[in-house]
Amino acid sequence: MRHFLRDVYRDQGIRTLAWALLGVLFLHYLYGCGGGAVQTSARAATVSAVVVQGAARVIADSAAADFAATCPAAEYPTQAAAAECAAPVRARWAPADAAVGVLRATLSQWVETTRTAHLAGEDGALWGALAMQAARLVADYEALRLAVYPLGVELPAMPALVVDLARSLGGE
Amino acid sequence: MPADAIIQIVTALLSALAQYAPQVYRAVVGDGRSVEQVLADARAAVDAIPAAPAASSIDDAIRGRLP
Repeated sequence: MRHFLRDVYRDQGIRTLAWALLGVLFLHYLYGCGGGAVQTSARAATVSAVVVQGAARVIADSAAADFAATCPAAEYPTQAAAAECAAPVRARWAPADAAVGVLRATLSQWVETTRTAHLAGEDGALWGALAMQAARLVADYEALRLAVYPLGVELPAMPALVVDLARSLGGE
Repeated sequence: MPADAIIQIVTALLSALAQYAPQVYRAVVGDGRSVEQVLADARAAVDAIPAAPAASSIDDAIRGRLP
């Protein structure tokens, strides 16, 4: 390993590339992803939406498993009997569905606000509204995690990209 | 910190990043998509979130039972 690093170090081309990469990474740290704040916001919204899609799939699978365990097909073979049995199962999972609905609405608003900011030429006044929505999204997602935890579902945390964006837009 | 040490650290980082070059490239340089395309992708991702995943899943399971 030491000889490898020595040989690489002696290669001036690699050294130049390494310094160039360091410079690019530093600029990325300063200015964020290529394409400006609008693209960063839109990408964060996409990442968040994909996370929520994944959470929705987990919730759907878990609710189906709960229904199958509560209302076995052998005991409730018909649709009518199964529907009657399913009432308490639906009630258990209603808060999770409500939380997903809230997240969907928050994300939708976030995308539209980002689009408006783009059309307005990244007007600074709109970023305050975007900051609130990003923070609300993070809070809404935590509410979803808390809603499904008692039902035996552990959802992953929101990616750092989104949390950090909410913090940065809020000026923290 | 000596320049040699900095070079060695960056070189090791470069080796690691080379393994994940596509993601780094997209994150740092961008993937060439326009703002409108990125916004459209965000819109599509949000629209793909199901409205009531638990209720829909239970409905599907009930439909799988005998009429």
